[in-house]
Amino acid sequence: MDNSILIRGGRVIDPKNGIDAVMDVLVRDGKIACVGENLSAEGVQVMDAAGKVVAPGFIDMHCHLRDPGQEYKEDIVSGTRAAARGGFTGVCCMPNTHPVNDCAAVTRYILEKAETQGSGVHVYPVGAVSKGLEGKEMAEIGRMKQAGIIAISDDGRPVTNSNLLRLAMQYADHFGVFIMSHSEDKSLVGDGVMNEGFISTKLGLPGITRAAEEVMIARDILVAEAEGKRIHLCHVSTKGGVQLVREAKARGVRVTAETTPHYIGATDDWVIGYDSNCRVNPPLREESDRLACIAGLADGTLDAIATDHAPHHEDEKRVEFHIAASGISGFDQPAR
Amino acid sequence: MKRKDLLGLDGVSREEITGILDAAMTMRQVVRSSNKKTAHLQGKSIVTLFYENSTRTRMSFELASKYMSAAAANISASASSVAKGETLIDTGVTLDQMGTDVIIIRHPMSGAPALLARHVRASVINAGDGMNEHPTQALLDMMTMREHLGGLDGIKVAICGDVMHSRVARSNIYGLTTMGANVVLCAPPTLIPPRIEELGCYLAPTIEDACEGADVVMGLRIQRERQQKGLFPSVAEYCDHWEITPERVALAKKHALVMHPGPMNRGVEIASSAADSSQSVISQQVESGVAVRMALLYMLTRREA
Repeated sequence: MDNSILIRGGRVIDPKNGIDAVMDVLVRDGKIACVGENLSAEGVQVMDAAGKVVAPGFIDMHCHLRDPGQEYKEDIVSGTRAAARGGFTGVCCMPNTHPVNDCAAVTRYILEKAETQGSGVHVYPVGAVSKGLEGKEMAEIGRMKQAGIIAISDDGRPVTNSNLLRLAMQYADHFGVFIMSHSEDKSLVGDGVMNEGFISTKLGLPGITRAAEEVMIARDILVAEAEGKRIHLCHVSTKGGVQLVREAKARGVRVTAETTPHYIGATDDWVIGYDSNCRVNPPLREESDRLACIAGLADGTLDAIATDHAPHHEDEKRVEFHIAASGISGFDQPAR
Repeated sequence: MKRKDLLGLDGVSREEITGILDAAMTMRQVVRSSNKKTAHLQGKSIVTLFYENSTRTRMSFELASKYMSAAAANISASASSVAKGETLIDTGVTLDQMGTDVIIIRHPMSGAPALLARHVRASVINAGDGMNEHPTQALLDMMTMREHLGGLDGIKVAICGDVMHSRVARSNIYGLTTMGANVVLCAPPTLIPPRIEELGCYLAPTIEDACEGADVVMGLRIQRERQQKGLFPSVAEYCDHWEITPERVALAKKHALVMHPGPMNRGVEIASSAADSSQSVISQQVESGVAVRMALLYMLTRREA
């Protein structure tokens, strides 16, 4: 028996090659040798995949590995292992670490640790737009690009200065890097901790209006449109946000967007009972938003599902909802 | 009583509320007597755990406990390990281990009593959590209304003031609608939370509409910091449009009650001439408060298995 593996009888989904059928996959020397029906199992190890989906490794374009600086929540070792369990072979990690990934040295640290201690999952770091995520001076985008970043973002602390956003778009474009925007107007977020609606009223929790997200999506789109540059919108959660992206794409704006498993699978009534595991930003919305996100994926308005995997320590969740850390661990969602 | 905790009036039945109010009428005899001592809570240990300042609610619970011979202790946030950063769950477990039978908690964050209740053996009474609920306040309000009006079914209760931030409003909406009353709210649009009418109450466009034909006109405290946060432009303008005044109370039924959970901001949400009028039962609400809390403590410590 050689080291070949036959993955037998799974539903093979391979969009690039237009495959969606029950088939066998033969892996030889760690590489896919053959995809077809009723392949011979002679002399190979067989893995029964009946009732399961067999797909190329997923890429998660938005996650938090918390390394460097918050290894008590997650590190590159545990993060890449969790990603592998979820079926990911590549993950893009956001720069809000300590220190921030705003210079080549931090980028190199992430890549080296992933290479030497990671699970084998490819790690693609996202650099900061601004030094220290402070929204003032541009980070060294060129040097970070040389070190290996694939995009830039001030995730969680959106660039409020629209001129900085404009300049960073122009500058990053020169290096073939685009901006991933966490679109949120913090003044509209206020002290909100969940979606503003009937559930927030019922629970007596301060709400966050959808406008907090949509105002910034509109701004990001308009700046990108004026500059003719590319923008990617992170974790779109509202019906209005999806529609803004749809309209921008129809005008020819170079915009792409993602949503997450929790915005297509959960709504704000999950917060009933004050479950701090449902504390996330943007917040879980309502059924009409959930359906709009699904429709957006179906018609191509939204380009990707990203997990926004944002792990925290259990201690940071076993507290009052208001002070619970915001974020949901998402890497294992595809495995469920 | 079958329940372990009282976290709110959402989901509490008409029978349960009636049972508590009936028991409270009996307890009030103790409050009014010259020998305020019964053995109802003999051997029981009751702790008030307050993460917010309070005078009347805490005193009310403490006296209710003492009138019924419980061992009562108080913890306030500034003086306890809370300030040192102990988690709510750890504090609760500690109180459990000390043999506490009932923990009465007030907390600035909605849902904190629910979190505590899930982790302790002791009964938990919510004495006000964030903008969520303040069930004993609503119970004492209902006790006061019931006594003066003869019943709660079909009465019109106008609630005017900072509905958005008010746990008293939410508990009263739940309790009063369960008991068959009509609740009408009135406040500046910036102080009305979205879709609150879906809880079974009504919104009145003006305070005059709210007061028209009402059996009860209840004020809610307007904190001055709400103005600084931009929720309304000035106290003077607030008063022009939303203050409870004798003229507005005159639109209500002839013997309508004027109520307020306290502490009042006189000259903001309620004029002194309304608060101190013959129709005001504000001071009597305080007496009802002790009686309701006595009834509740007694019933929770006599849980049916």
